[in-house]
Amino acid sequence: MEKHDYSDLTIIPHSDGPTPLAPILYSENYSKAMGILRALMANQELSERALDLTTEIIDQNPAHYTVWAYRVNIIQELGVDFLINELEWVDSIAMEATKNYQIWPHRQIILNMMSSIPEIKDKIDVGAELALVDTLLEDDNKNYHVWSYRQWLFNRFDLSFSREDTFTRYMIDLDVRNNSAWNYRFFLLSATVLKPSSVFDLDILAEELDYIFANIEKAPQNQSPWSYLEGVMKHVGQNLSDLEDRFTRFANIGSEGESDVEPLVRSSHALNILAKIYASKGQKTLAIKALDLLANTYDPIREGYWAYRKSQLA
Amino acid sequence: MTSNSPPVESFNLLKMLKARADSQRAHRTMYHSGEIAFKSCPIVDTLVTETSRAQAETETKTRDRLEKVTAAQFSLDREKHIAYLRDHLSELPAPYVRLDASKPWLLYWVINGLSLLGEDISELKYPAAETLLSYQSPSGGFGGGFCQITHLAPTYAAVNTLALAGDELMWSRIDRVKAYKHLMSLKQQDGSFSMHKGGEIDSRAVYTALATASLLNIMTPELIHNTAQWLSSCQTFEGGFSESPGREAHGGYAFCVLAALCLLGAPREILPQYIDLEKAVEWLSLRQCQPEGGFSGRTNKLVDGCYSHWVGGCWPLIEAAVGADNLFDKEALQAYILACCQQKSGGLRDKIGLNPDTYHTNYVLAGLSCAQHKYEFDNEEAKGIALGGFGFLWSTELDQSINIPIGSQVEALNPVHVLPVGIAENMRAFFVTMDQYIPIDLSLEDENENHDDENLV
Repeated sequence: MEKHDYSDLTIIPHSDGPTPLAPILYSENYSKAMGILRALMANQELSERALDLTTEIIDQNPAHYTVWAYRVNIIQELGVDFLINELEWVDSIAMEATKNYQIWPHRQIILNMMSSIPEIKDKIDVGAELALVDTLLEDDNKNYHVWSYRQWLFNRFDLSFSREDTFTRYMIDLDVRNNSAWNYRFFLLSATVLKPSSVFDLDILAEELDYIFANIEKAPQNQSPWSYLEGVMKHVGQNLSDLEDRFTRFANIGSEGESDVEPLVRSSHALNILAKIYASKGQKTLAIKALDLLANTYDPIREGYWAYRKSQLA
Repeated sequence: MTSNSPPVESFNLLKMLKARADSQRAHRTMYHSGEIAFKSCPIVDTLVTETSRAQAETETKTRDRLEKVTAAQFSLDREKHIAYLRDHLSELPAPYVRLDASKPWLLYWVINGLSLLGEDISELKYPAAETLLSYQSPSGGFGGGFCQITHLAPTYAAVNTLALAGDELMWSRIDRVKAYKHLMSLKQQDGSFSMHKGGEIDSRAVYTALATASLLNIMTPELIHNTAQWLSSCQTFEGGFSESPGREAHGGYAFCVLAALCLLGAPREILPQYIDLEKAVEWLSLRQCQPEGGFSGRTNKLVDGCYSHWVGGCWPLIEAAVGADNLFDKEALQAYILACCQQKSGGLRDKIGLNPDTYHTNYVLAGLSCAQHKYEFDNEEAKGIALGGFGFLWSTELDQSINIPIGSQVEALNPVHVLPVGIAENMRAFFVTMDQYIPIDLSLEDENENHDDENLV
């Protein structure tokens, strides 16, 4: 507030109505800045001094969506020079308030504005955007907003498949239990090399299945690759039961007629998938055996759910 | 537990045996006359990653706490939580500036939490309603505070709180025609909504828009055109639901998608029509953590008390759709809440070691309510119901199969509006009656409102 003169404005003081509940004891600085901001907004002033004031307020309260929306209007009015600087400023906020809802839509708006202006269109540095995402994910590898933003970047700027493929493999290598990375991989493959509408390459599917099973082997009780496996198979219209032999390494409860086989269960998720396969093949006894093992031994908290699944068997 | 010996090859025998011994010890431990015990999975992978480290740490803390809790401690510290919530209605210190754009939320969390605890809130009626009405925007709907632009999240919270702590006189001060125009101005062609003008488009926006329209009796065919289809596209390959198509399945968005659909139709009709119900049931079921008993919001994420509502609150909707009950372990959820989510000095929290806040206090209590009650949807009544009426056909009763420690019972909720039973119903009934006498005009044609003003107060 020191940089500019705001003395021409009639400050609009804060009010919570005649009987305020839960009034916040604002700092003097915040209170003053908001009073000026309300006056500027009432005048619909879109100026540099208004912009600087929004910077100051967002620093103190990054969740203030009204101030972000006002800022967009100001940037739009002030034009190219301010637009270019804007991303750098958002970077600094992003580093501090990674779970904030406003940062990422704001970035998207700014990038969209930039790409609509021919003279600064080439100033968009998608590499820098990805670098920011990488840095933030390094710090918090499951940050929902950051992963969502990466999806947006992928669609908006047609990111290279191989780059993103490498990236998800890298993230999964770092932590095979990172479900956000598996979700991103599904997003990536399901829209490209495993797109069901195109004639996808069966070799690519086979390669992906090997990749999934190699990761399952690292930690068979990890749910993420199992859900991913089911998702991929369904997406490309293949039957899970075609993979039955590959599941027995992780869960084996014998075949029909062998009643006294000692079950081998390294993964409750494998056993769950087997139960589905048995049900689809009409092998009711085996399906019941699998569901009972889940309810009684391997996944007892879901006892009610496994009982429901049993009730669904024809 | 049966005594099948799991195979020992390929994974660490010692770890497995330890897990099993722990689990058996746990089963012998009784915390209350209801014999609440925690359940665990005997399979433990040896590979350590960031996820498993964090999980192991949480499990240890939870286990320690569950083992140490005595029967006497295993109850809801009602008075302390009431005091904690009431404290948040008086002057708040400067760091609360982070809630300066979420004032209607703060009031909703506090007042809904107090109501769940059975507190008489009648003395809050006037101040709460006046505070909230001062946030009503000239463009329709509510802002997050004084002179803030209208936004769907504070609109939802404000309308919910007015339903809770308002009366007919105050309700008639809500400008419903403008609220409707505001909702329509945020409606996207694909059926979704944006949170505010130029703001983010996600399933929260859809739920808050539909819940508001349902309470204010302003739902029209135009408002909901394509919306169920859009919600359907938020179901992910995992079976859960995300912020928008392609994103990761998440408990908060799961509630938004399912509750939004249940505002558009009877659960057993609309859910199977628009989603893969069996995958949804599976994903929701997998959210319950063992041995913790509470829910996680996403696959391989940690338990968090707030998902007691976001995930727990999906169950009444799902159970009404599939016609089954007890699909999740209600006692285990209650045990997690009572043993791990209560702060000694008052307030409820995410997990042991974290501070309580009003958001967690409300949603943990809402989850507790869900664990303690049974819900029924009136399918017969639904057959002839008018648009926007599907949220008001729920009845609830105490679930007799759950052992509720003495003094720990909380009030029952309307499962789609997340308000104590009767509250949403009253507000809706008032507007329905009013509209019978003086119909409101929701046509948009003649007025080309000056939407440019919208960003400026």
